[in-house]
Amino acid sequence: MRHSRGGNGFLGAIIKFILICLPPLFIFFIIWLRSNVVAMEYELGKLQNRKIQLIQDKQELLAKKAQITSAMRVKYVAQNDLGLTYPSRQKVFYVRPSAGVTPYRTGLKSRE
Amino acid sequence: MTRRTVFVKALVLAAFLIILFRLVDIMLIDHDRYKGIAKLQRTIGKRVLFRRGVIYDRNGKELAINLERPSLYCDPKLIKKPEKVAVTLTDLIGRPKAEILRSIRQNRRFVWLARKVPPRVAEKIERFGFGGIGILPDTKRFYPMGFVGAHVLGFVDLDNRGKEGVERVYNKELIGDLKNSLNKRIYLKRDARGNLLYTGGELESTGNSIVLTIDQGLQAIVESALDDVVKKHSPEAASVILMDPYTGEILALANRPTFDPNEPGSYRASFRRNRAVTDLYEPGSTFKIVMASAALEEGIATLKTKVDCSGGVIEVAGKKIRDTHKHGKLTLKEIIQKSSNVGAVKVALELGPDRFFRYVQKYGFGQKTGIDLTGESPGIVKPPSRWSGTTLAAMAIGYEVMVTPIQVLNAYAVVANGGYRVRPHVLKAVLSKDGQLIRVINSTMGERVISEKTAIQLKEAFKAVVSRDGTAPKAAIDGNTVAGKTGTTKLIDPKTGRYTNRHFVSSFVGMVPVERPVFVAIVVVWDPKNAYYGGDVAAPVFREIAEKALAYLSVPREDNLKEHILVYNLDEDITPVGYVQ
Repeated sequence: MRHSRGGNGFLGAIIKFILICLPPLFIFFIIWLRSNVVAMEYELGKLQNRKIQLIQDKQELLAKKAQITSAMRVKYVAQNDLGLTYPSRQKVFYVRPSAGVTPYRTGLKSRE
Repeated sequence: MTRRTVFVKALVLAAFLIILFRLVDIMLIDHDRYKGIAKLQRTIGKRVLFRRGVIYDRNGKELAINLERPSLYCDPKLIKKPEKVAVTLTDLIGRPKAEILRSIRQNRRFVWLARKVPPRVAEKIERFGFGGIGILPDTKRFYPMGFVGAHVLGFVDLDNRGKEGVERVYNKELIGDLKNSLNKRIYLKRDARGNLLYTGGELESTGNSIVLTIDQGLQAIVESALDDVVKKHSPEAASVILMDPYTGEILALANRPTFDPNEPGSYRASFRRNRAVTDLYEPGSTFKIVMASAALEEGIATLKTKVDCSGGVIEVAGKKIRDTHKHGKLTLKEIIQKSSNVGAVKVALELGPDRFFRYVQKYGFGQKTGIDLTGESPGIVKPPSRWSGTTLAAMAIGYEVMVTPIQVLNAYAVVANGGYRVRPHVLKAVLSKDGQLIRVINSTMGERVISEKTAIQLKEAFKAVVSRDGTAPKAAIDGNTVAGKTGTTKLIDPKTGRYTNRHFVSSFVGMVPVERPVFVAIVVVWDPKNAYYGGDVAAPVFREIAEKALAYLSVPREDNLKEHILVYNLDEDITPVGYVQ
């Protein structure tokens, strides 16, 4: 009996300790979890803004690229800056895209 | 208990009661109001940034894209120092101070101050931190090639809605999910410092992209050729269209005068008009295709049938129709080659109104071609019941009928492809915002208009037009066969209401290489100066375009096909694989 009472006392103390410590621990865990979620939300918010900024930059770069590589600009640079002229057709040689295909590039399917 | 203790206890109780009452007030009685205030403090409403899809040419080159250009607005009631704000903004947005002040002093809660300003300007204004001045994310449509392809692309208004061209026709595709895109607001969580927290919603929405049949390279060639004709002949207007005759795909389309779609408001409405599909003109001799087709199809004549054109004049219902040069007996082929009006009228009279009119309709004159561009005109074709005594003869030579350049081109595409009608179009495919293929436009040939035999015969006749004895030797290209037809029509003087000998429409419509044309092209020049024959004004423009276009498209010279052409195979090593024998 004494042994048993002693065991119950020890178990009771543990249960008492757990009952006292668990709620604060649980509250701390919830707060820790919540703060982590918020920190994550901040991080994701920043990334979202960065993504928007990158898309904006991409649009600007795309515009510059399109302007620089436009046929009219290429023609202008070739003729005015580099002094090139449109080649005579005698000087053009033809590149065959792959064996058995005509060099025509427009509406290939309907021609078959 | 002492009196002091009772007093303290009562005080504490009262304090708790006050707190309890306040809590009941906040949490139950005035709950909704405080919830609203809390939401305002913790969230911020943002307009979803809406982007139109990109427009690409057939090779994937960007023809229309979006730039981030925020817009500036103000709430006049929240601006404390209007003078100071106006002075600062004048330098930044380039609007006069008085104008800004007028905006700021309006009795409204929302006034635009500047639309689509450069991002750097918006950042500077944001840094000033003026109360009552706000910045909304916005996009500006940008056409990197400027005026190149302007009439095909069209333009958008300040709110990014398509107003002309493919921007208007495919507005729905380019916007994407319209209901969920325009004016949609998204509420984001923020902290006390205004830092945004991620809430999962999309802050921007992008429409589908479209791929056009236009080839940027060919378009540039056409634009340059038009610039040359403007320099040389100072016409009132000019149009050129290049089309694949087998599919109806428009490869290039341009007009003069033209405009820059980046600044459409800076140009007159007439500059923005797509004359190639909207403007009507009497086609003149290019319309002889109807007479010739009908004659060959109905068995009235063969290319070798001779018609007496002697005298160079014929009288129909009291009106005299003349040839430019007097001819003797001409075959049908020679009537086309030399563009004899007398010969054409005689053949048409032999056909009669009903048979002639049937071919007018078969070629699609008087009907819209169905091209997916804004403002297409069906033209004007009178039914035989309303014809006068001269109408048949006049129509045989391309008068008393009004057509658009695209209609004439579409008719010649029938001859080029062996007899089938095609529907001209500029849309090739629709892509999702991620670049996935949503829809491809199947270019199929329509109903047969003329037999293959007739098409071959017509090609032969049109080929003769470009020969030394024809009306358009200036359209001939070194190394490739060209077939086509010239047209020269007198314009009506608005003062007298009669045809004038001073103002003309010159045109040329042709195909190259004749056997299997890569493209058909039409050149129409309204009221050119210095010259007026189609063979002198429009045919050289066709040659200039065709020569460059054939080189650009890597179409070999026909005269060299059996000789030695150096050929590389791209799928193998970059060494010559031999010569075409």
